[in-house]
Amino acid sequence: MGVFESFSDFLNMNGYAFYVWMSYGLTLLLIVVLLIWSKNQRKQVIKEIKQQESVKQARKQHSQSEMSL
Amino acid sequence: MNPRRQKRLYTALVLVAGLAITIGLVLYALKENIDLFYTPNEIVNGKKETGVKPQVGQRLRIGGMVVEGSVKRLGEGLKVQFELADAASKQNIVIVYDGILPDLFREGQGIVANGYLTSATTIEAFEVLAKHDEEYMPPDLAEAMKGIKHVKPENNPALTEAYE
Amino acid sequence: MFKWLHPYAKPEKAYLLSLSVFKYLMPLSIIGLFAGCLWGLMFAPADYQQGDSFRIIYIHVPTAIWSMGVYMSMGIAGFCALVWQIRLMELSVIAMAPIGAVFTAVALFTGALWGKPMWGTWWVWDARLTSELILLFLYLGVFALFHSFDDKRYGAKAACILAVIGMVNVPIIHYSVEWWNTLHQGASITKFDKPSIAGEMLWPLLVNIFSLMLFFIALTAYRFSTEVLRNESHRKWVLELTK
Repeated sequence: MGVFESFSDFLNMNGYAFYVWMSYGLTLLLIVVLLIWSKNQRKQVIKEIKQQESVKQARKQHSQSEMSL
Repeated sequence: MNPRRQKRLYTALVLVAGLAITIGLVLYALKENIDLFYTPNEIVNGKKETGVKPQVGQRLRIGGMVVEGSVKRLGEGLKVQFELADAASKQNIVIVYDGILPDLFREGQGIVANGYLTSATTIEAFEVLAKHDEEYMPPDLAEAMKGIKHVKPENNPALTEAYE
Repeated sequence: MFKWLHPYAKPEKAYLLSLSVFKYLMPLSIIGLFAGCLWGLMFAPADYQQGDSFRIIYIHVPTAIWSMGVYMSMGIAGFCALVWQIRLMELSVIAMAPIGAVFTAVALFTGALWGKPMWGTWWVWDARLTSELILLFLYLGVFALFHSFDDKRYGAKAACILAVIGMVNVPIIHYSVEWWNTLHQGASITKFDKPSIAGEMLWPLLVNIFSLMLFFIALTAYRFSTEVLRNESHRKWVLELTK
């Protein structure tokens, strides 16, 4: 296990386990949240564009059918 | 008030509040660091620029090196006593502290203590912080270069009893 | 001289370029960060004074360096947006702000988790820590300003102005350890001198610093492309893309 003698030594970090693992864990959590949030923003934008487009299409059809009357 | 103006007003308020908090924090940080900070030499001879000496009973912050061989346990609890010096000081300042010392605390280490001056050269500290330098190296290299071994305070013979 | 750049000033080209930047750099940066962290956690030796708590350096220092680097990029983009009235630059400012905020937050809490066992305190109001906290507020301020006006152009302008003004804070953070008496120690690697850190400890750190830069570029490209879509939502090319 690198410079550690065993896996449990590695996890224990010579008594600094809480501080080291808390740092790495919270960092991972924040980065993942940032990535998911960025992904959701993109989904949301694409959804809005599609909605706005379908509304436009519906209006077009509506006005066309009115004209044909 | 229409919603748009209301929103803008809130934004402005939040920004002003943020700016105020920021300036407050900066002033607080600078005050803590400059007004209250003394070296061991300045406690005896007064501040370099102004010559101001701290009053007995005053709250202050001191920064210096822990004098070799000066760390002593007092009584049964966590209470310890040690001396601080700096390059210019002729008289050491005695620090009395009742609490857990940081892991970097050892003789020859730079530390910062917060506390009250109880006599001309004694400080009753409520907080002891260790300051370290920007050098990082593996233990074997450090031993070869500096002859320093890292000893956690739990393992420091001068302090072990205090932790038991 | 900058003729070759002109096609990329078109939103469509900028969109496609940023997506391919994201596609290549993101996996590379993730691999780099994973390797750097593993190396730092398992194979780098422990510090002579700080023992294994020193391994926090492998996230604390890269995020702290890039919390400032991202701000400078954002400030320069904001400056260009204001001077040359480039909408795409405004969009890049809002793409960068949350990334910088996360880096700053990570630097602050890993610093606290490192300070508690070593210094003996989670937090001190010294110049380095306080100015880094102000950096977090600046990022949040830029983000909030951008979204707090109904007229998007106003919001973007205001955010860019704050981004530019806030750049003053960056050199303050960097030199705070020299200008004031701080509990935080001086720079180990960002100085014009030999790094004060042993080679076998330094390499994983450099890997992480470089990989975090790639991560920042990749994620900025991704978030930027989203903002371009939002901004151009009525254009034909966007409609064709999202079909």
